[in-house]
Amino acid sequence: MRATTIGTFLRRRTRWFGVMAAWHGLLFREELRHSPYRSFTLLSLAGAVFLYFPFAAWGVREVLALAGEEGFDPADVSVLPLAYAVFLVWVLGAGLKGRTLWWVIRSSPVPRAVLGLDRALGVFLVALIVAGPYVWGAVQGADFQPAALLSLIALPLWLSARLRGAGGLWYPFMLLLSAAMGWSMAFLVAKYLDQGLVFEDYNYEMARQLLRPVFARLHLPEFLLVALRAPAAVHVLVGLGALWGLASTLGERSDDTNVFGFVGTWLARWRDAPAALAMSSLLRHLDVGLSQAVMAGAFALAARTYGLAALPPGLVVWWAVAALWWPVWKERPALPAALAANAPDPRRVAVELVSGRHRALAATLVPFLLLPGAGAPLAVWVVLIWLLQYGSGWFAQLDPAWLPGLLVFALGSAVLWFGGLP
Amino acid sequence: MSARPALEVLRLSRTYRSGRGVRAASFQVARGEIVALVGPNGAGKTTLLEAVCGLADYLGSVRVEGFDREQEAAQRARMACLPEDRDFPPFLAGSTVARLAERFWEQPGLEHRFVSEAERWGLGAAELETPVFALSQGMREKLALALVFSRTVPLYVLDEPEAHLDPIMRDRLESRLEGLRSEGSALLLATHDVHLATRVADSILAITRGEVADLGRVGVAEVLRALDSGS
Repeated sequence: MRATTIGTFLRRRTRWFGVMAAWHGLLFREELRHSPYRSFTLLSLAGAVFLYFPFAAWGVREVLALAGEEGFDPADVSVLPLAYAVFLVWVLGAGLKGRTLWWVIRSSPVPRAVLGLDRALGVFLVALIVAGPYVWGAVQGADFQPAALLSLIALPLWLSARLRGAGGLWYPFMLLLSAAMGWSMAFLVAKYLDQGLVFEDYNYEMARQLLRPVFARLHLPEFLLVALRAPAAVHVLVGLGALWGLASTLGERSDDTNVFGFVGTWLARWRDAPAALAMSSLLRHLDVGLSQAVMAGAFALAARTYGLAALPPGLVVWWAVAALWWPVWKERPALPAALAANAPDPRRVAVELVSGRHRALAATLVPFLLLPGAGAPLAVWVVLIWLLQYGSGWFAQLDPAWLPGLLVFALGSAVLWFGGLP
Repeated sequence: MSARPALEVLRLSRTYRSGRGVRAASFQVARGEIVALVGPNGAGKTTLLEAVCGLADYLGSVRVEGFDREQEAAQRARMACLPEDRDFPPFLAGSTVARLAERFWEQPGLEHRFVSEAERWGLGAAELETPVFALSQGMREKLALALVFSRTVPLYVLDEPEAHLDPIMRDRLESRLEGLRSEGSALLLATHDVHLATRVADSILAITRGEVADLGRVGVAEVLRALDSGS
C-alpha cells in the first residue's frame, strides 16, 4: 500500500477546496445579481458558511492528528467520516441555494452548462453519500449485501432523472454520462480506501475488471461466479443494464406514461377523486420519486447493516414511501386549469385536495403493514395519517408549499422511531 | 329574457410588461346571444377571456348576471369557462375528471349529465374509462367540451372551442352553440375560425393589439378587413 506525505495530501485538498470555493463564489455572485430572491440567497450564503466552517475545522483537526506520523495513509478510517462530513455540507450548501439556481441559469450570462454542472455535482454527491456505506462495508470485507446492489442501481437512476432536463436526443447521453460519473466515483472511493491513491490508473483497473470476465471467461457459470466474486464488476454490469432498461423504458416523459396505463385505468375506478388526483400526481413524478424512494430505503438499510444506526423497520419503510411522495408533497396541490376555472370556492378546493393527499398517502402505506416487524407502529401511523386529513384546513394554509410535507415526514419519523424502539 | 346582460365588461385592462395585453375593453353579452371574439395571434383574446373568467387580475369591471369580482363565488357559479389550458392529469380517466368537476364545481348530478354530453361528442363508456394520456388530442378536446357543456349556466366563455376538432365535430359544435343560445344562454367565444364566427355569432368583436372593436353582425370579408387594418 502506498502512502503519501501529509504535505501532498493537504496541497491536493487545498487546491480542490480552493476551486470549490471559487465555484460557489461565482454562483452566489450570479445569484445576487440576477435572482429575485436576494434575501433568501444571502440567508443561504450565511447558512452555507455556518455549515462549512465547523466541518472544515474538524477536517483540519483530523488531518493534523494524522500528521504526527512520518507518512499519511489515506486508507485510515478517519478519512471516511471526514469525507462524509465534507460531502454532507457541500450537498446541504448546494441544496440551500438550489432554490434559486434556475433563476441564475435563466438569466446569467455564464454558459448554462457551466452553471448546471454544480447542480449535477451536488446531486452526484448525494448519491455518493448513499453508496458510501456499501463501499465502506465492501472494503472492510463485509458480505455482499443485496441492498448494496439496489443502492447502486438507484444511483444512476436518480442521477439521470435529475439530469433529465437535457431532454431530447441528449437524454440517453446524459444518462450514460451520469452513470459513468457515479460508477467511476464509486470505484475511486473503493480503490482509494483499499489501495491508496490510484488516481493515475483507476480507469485501467476498471476496464480490466470489467472486461476480464467478458473476454477471458465467456462460459456463463464461470462468468457469473467471477462477477459475483468481484462486486465492482457486478455493479458496473448491473448498473449499465439498469440504465439501458431505464433509457428504453422511460425515454421521453411523454412516452413513459404508457408504462403506467393500467394504473390509470385502476385510478379511473377510484371513487375518491381528490385521492385519485394525488395518486395521479405521484405517477406523474414516479421516475424521480421511485429512485428517491429506493435510495432512501437503501440508505436506511445500509445504516442498519453496517451498524451506523439502529433504525426500526417501519421507519425504513416510511422514509422510502415519504421519498416516493416528496416530489408531490413539495408542491401545493392544484386542480387542472380547466377545472379550477369553474370552481366557485378555491379555498375549499385547496383543503379537499390536501385531504385527498393524506388518504392517498395512507393507501400507499397499507401494503407495508404485512412487513415483519413493521406492522404495529406502521398501522398506528396509517391511522394517524388518516386522521390528519381532518386537519387539512390547517395544512392547506401553511407556507411555503413544502411545509405540510415536511411536517408529515417529521411526524411520521417520530412516530415510527419511538414506536419501533425495543 | 332578463333585461340585465349575462356579461357586462367595462373598461377592462390587463397589460404585460411588454406592453401587450388588453386596453379598456367594454362590451356586453345578453342572454340568448353569441358574441365571437376574433383577432390575430397575440392580439389579446386569451388575455381578455382569462380576465373574464377570473383567472387573472385586471383593471375595470366584469359583471356576470350583475355579480362583480367581489362576489367571486356567485360569479363562477353562473358561468362555465373553457380556458386555453385544458390539459387534464394524464393518469386520470375522463370519468374521474368528471367526478372532480362534480365535487368542486358544486354541481350535483353533473357526472350523469357529463355521460350523456360525452356521448354527444362521440365519447363512449370505454373512452371515459381510458386514462387521458391514451386519448388523442381531439378526444381530449371533446372531453373538455363535454365537461364544460355539462354545466347549465347563464354564461359560457369558450377559448377556441373548435381547436383540434374534425369537421364533423365542428359541425356538431356549431349546433351545440346554437342550441345553448336557443335555450337562453349567453356565449362568448374566442376563435380563429372567422367562418364559424360569422355563421353563429350575433355580434363580432375584433381585437387587434389589445383594442376591442364591436363590428356587429358582419360577413367574413368585413371581419378580415377589420383585422387587417388593425394589425
